[in-house]
Amino acid sequence: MHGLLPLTIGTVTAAEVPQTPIWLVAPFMGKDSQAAKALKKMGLAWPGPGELSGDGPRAFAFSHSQIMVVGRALTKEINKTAAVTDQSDAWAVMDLSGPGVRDVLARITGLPLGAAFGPGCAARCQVAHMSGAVLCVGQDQFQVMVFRSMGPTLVHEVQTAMESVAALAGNA
Amino acid sequence: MRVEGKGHAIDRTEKLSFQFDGKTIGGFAGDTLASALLANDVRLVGRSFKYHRARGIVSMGSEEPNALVTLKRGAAVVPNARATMQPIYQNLVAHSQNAWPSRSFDLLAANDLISPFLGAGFYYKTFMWPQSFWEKVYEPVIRRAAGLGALVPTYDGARFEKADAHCDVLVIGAGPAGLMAALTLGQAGLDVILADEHDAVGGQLLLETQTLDGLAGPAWAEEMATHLASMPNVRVMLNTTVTGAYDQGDFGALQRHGLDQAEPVHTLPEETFWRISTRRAVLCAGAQERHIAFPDNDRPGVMMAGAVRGYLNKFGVAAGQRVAVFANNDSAHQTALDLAAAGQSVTVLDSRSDAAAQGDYELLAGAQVVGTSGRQGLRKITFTQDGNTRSLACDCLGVSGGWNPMVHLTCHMNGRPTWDEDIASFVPTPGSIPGMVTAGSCGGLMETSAVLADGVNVAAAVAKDLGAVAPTPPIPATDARPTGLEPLWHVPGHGRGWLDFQNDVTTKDVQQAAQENFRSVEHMKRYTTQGMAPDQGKMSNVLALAVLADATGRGIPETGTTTFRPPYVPVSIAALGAGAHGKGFAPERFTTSHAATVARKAPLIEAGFWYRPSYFPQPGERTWRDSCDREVAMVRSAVGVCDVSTLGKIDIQGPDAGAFLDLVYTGRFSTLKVGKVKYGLMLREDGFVLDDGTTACLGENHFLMTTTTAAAGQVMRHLEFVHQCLRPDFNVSFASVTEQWAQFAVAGPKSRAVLDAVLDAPVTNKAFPVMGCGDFSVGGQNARLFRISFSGEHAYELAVPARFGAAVFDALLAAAEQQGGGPYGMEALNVLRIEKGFITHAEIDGRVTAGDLGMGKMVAVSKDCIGKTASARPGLNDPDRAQLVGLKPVGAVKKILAGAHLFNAGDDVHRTTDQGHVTSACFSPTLDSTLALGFLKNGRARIGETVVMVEHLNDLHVQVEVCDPVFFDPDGGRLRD
Repeated sequence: MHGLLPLTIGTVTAAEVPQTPIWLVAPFMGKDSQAAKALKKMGLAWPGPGELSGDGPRAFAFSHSQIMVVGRALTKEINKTAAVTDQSDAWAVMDLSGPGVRDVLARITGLPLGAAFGPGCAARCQVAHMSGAVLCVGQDQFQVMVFRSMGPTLVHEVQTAMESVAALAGNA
Repeated sequence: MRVEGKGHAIDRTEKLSFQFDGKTIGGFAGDTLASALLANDVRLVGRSFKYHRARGIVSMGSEEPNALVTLKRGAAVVPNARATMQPIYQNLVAHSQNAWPSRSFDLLAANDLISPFLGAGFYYKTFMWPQSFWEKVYEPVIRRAAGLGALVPTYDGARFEKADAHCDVLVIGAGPAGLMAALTLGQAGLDVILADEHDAVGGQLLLETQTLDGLAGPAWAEEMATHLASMPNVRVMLNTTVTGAYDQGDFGALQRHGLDQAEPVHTLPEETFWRISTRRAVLCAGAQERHIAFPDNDRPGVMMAGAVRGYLNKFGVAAGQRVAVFANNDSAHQTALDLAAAGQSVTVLDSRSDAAAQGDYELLAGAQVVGTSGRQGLRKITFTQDGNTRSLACDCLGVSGGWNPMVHLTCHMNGRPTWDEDIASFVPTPGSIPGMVTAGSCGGLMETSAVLADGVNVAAAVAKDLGAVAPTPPIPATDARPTGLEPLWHVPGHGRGWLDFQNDVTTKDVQQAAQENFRSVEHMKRYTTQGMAPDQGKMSNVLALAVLADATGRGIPETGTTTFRPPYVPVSIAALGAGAHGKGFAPERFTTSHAATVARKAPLIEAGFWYRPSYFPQPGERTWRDSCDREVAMVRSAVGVCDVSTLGKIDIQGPDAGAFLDLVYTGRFSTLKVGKVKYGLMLREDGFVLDDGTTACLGENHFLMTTTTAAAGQVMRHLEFVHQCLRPDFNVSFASVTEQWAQFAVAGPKSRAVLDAVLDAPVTNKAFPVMGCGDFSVGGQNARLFRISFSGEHAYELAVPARFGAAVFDALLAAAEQQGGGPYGMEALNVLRIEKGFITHAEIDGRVTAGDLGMGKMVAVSKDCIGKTASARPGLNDPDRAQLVGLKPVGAVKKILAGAHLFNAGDDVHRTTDQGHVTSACFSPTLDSTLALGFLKNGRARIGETVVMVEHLNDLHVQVEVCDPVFFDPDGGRLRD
């Protein structure tokens, strides 16, 4: 996405989230509670399905018994309890914010974007025609993740949606 | 003609002009194309589909069968736009359809003169013979004459989009019932979407003079709109037609934008196709007035009675100077009352002998219209009353045969509506769509106060069902209007009585269908084409089946309806496929070396969604072969660098990782030592080969599997399936790291020199032999090195975190160029691997076994694996199966093409004599020969034989020698040295 962002159209801004450590953490069989304890010592609650915990460093549910820890190094303790895989280079992460952000997201995801999907919510979902994740990190602020190689496609899809939302609101 | 003091929807201070068939016409802001044409006494607006009959505006909504026009908007051409749903804007350009040279003088109107020969089934009976005429003569002629509107075959750049919406309750239709339902649900705190296909809420109230709580209908609706807009949990979607009801509470809806804008910004989508997911739905679609099939009822000027008063009340337009109304019910009398109040004189012909006038207008009770006349528009009607036939001069006839509840959406999941004798129409059958209920006149209620109350009561029950209870809003007081009706479907007489205006179907066609034993309503529909056009029979369905019921001597309920299918209104293909063109067609995946690759002007080819270099052209090279040959020679003699990041990489960890790999691979991996790589073959459960690749042991209980580029997702899915469904007891976990690592092949005799220039520490052949792997560093950053080769050369693959990919690729290239090497692309990679007999998915196409590939011994005897038992089936071990072989031309023609088939010399070329096929072919500059891989029956036993390759597209018959698939360096010395 480098060189393609930031982008402001209408009331929505898309920006690239600077690269930060991203870890896929999958507790070994029977080690879920130890992994959760180890995560807690790092100051992060273990996120249940659809949840995002933390502000700054974050953790969110990624798949069955798999979470992503974003924004900090992992402790040795958590490394002992879970299969840990470095994903820091694997994801293009876009920050999408502004009053019209949910209208933009409604054009690239099928998520229920009502008030119930607020700060602290995360979803693994289809983003346009890509596999990705959407995190609600603030009121009218989201992070959208797709595979790094598809970053330019994400920008294309988001830009198209932003233009459309702006035109419909008379902001084009 | 405009009427002063009427027309709440138009702004008389804002005059607009537009063009219809080249003529400039004036209107007001707020007019639809239909209301503006009527205001200017343009009555003939188009020609009918089959007989090219003169036709005029009939209705006010999306059910309009006649007033279909083609709009021209910049480069865009929109056929079949309903004049009734299209607002005018300054300089709008519209054209009538189906008429040539003009709508008032149309040559194909001659069809109408020979109409006795063109009835139902005409095509089926006439164009049977001679058979050869169909394709060459009949079809082209019919196609040219047929169709409604015409598409422009070029892309006009218009934008369309798709979007998702979610709510607790979707209320469909914002008439009196829908407004009250949305208010009730909104007050209960539920998330509500209220969708209406018009540009303002109010529905029928906008067309009537009825008051609610003392306010005129439109004013009351506007107050409601303001109230609903102030509720954050209610979203009103205008110009939005709900087009279909689907499973699990999903509804399709089409929203149209910028309809009244002369030049909308180019980023404004023309249409949004919504998928609305809801917990419950309330259908408040209202009812539509139906026609009566009397002779020549299709003449311009004959309209629905409700539309006549709607145009008067909403747009201040009198549809005629002298209006008559023909009806079988009380509601149509309101048209006379409204027109009389506006100063027009009206005559009502009511088929009921006991009909009573509701006000000051002329009433002819027990009268039936039996004919109309006027060449391009109505001038006179003929009617019978008390056995006498008389005529009446009028230029507009409002017709009402009663009202049909709009049951369509309730039938989209194969529900059938129920006949209601009281209103002589079908009403929804409760429970037809899970989670959807109906309210208002869509459910058969025809009295406004009942409709309003039903909206509240139905919504309150829905709210309660969803656990949201709140006080219900009061029901507005409204004046009562009579709704009595006596069924009248068909008035016999001279001339045709039209049912389906869009497809030119008459009562005679339906009767003929019945006579010819197409008695089922579904058969009648297909035989006559009734209900098949863009309007999907909205106006004609009930009428047609009533006529069929009469013709077959059955009752209407026994006759039943045809199947209602989505979409409720036509949906542009552009909206359904929105976004899927250009860059929106599919995701693009770019490697970290993409910019460097593009800078070197390499043509790109797609592999999966990845863009990979085909070859890297050099000055003086004229064809891809020039570049490819050079790159192959470069790798064999010096060194080449190739981005192989696209191969799937799966990180596998856990105490049972080894056992898991033993299960999914044919070979044993649990004994693989740390720092070693092994080639593996993976079978599907049916015993055929799924994929191949290498797996490296990075540490204790830690492996890295590579897959082919194309099968990366498939393999990951397979692993998930095996773990979750077959061996959930395995303590193992895996993660895709394809995107995490950029990986480069460095291949050729000078590859080690290149690595030594890039790695922080040198590599030695002894410490790092073939099939070794380990951690290294590049510029102080962690890297992984694998001694693996897909070219047969001394080769490595170097993996670095993707952020360093571009820099490392540049560094490797710089070092390679120092050694007389450089980058190579997919073409050279393909040649290198064919020379070595290495397989890709061209060979493992899903139909081959390990045995077919000559890899039967890789299926370990001492352990089980997925697909092992199935691969032992007799058919999969038949010696006559096609086996992987190499192929070389031996005759005068040197060409071998992938996809060609193999035959024994002297055999007839026929599928029964087929011996196999070619999977991959190339020219090998190393061996100065065309080489190919393919599968040949019992091939391994036939090495040395000559067979014939036959390729029909290029008419090639080439003699080829069967050889070992490994053409080059069969003992693998180059790999190890």
